[in-house]
Amino acid sequence: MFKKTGLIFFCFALASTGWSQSDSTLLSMLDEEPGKVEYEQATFKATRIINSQSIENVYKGVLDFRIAHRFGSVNGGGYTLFGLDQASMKINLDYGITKRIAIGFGRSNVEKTYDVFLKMKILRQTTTHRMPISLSIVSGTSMNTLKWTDPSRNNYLTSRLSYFHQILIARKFNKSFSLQIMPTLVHYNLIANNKLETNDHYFLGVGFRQKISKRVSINFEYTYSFNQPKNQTLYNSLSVGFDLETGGHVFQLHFTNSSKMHERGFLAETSESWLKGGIHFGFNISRVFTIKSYN
Amino acid sequence: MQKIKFKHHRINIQYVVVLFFALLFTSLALAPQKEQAKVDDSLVTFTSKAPLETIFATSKNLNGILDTTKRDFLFRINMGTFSGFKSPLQKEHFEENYLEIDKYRFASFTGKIIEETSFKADGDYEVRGKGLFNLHGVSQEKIIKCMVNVKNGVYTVTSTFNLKLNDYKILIPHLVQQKIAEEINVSISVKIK
Repeated sequence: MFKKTGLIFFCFALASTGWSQSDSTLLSMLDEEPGKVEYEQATFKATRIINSQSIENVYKGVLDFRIAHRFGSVNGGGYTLFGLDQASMKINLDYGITKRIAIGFGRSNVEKTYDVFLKMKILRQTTTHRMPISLSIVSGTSMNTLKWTDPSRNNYLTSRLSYFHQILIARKFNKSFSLQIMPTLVHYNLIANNKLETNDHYFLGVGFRQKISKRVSINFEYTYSFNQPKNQTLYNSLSVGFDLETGGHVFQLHFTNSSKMHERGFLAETSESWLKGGIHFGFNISRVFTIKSYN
Repeated sequence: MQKIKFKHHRINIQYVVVLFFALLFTSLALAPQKEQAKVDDSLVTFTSKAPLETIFATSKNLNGILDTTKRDFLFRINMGTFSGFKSPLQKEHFEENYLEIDKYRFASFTGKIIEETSFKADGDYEVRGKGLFNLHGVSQEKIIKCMVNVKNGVYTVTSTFNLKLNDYKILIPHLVQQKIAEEINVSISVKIK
């Protein structure tokens, strides 16, 4: 064993003698910081795949202003101009506090919902095989601020709240294809006093993007619900769309069966089906502003 | 138990002897290479001056070797090491959309100094480097003028030159043509010893 090691070492010494004499290869003499780790970037173009959070965070010191619309369902036909007559809207402000932590605030006109979230990068995929995936966690709260249906009752603020917790696991397989899976928990503080309903809802989401050119990609997203309440007609959320990138803007155009844009809404309250024509056209527009420059 | 210990000791000596020879050979091999000087310190800056926007970034990660007797050189830079962009998104676009660094991480310049200078005496030399400039996976023949200052075996090289993006197949979409210059100004300052 030791003899072998010695022999190998000896060979190495001889080899290095021969190698350094062939000085035509100046290139091999450059040691390019062997220990340096480089992280994959731009696994997705925007911080949302379509409705769901993507593994991307807003950069540190950058404010991302997002406007999203979901129009009415296309099965309204020509009378509603395929749903364009009405829209649900959401405005979002996301900010990157550190390289790994981003926060967001949003307001949606559906049930006059306010929501906040915190997103944290735990693992980052490297360009080498050292770390094959990226992993983030997202937690958020949303509050519907509709007037109480029964004001005479003793109503609590906490009854308006619901929460979501999500683990995002993503991998950029190559320049154009990225995949993400996302186990999710949605918790309602208040539900109807009914044995068919539960406070906790479990989901597994999957999303991907496939670039079709440098600045255009096709996005897909689907969420499977493990315990859909049986007393309501609810469907799993399915969305397909495009990302178009132009400098500081990202335009996301898509078709989805969810008209709600906050997590609780599209995960647990999607009440329309693709098969029955309950498809909504929608878009997200994202514009980033550098508030504080760190580079 | 005692016996095994003794055996180990003997093999270690053998190992040390091999190591000694190995080191001797390696040092012998490296000895005649003193005229190959390596980049010690560097500053590379590029500027794109377009009607609507000036983009500017720097890197301190130029790597390279200069053979002062053969007058051969090789310089290489990791294009992912630039910083100083106006926003992180600009850096992302630079790396992903324009330089495509996942495919072409390095830019390099390899070649020979045209002037037959030995750089033996301290002082300033104006020389031209002729060789292949590789950027974005495209190699172009290029002659770059530099000033070389020699002092106590330390070479300080400074140079500015222009690069046409079109020559290196870096395509600028119509939409941002007012924001990115067709010709990029590069200035470098390198300490080689």
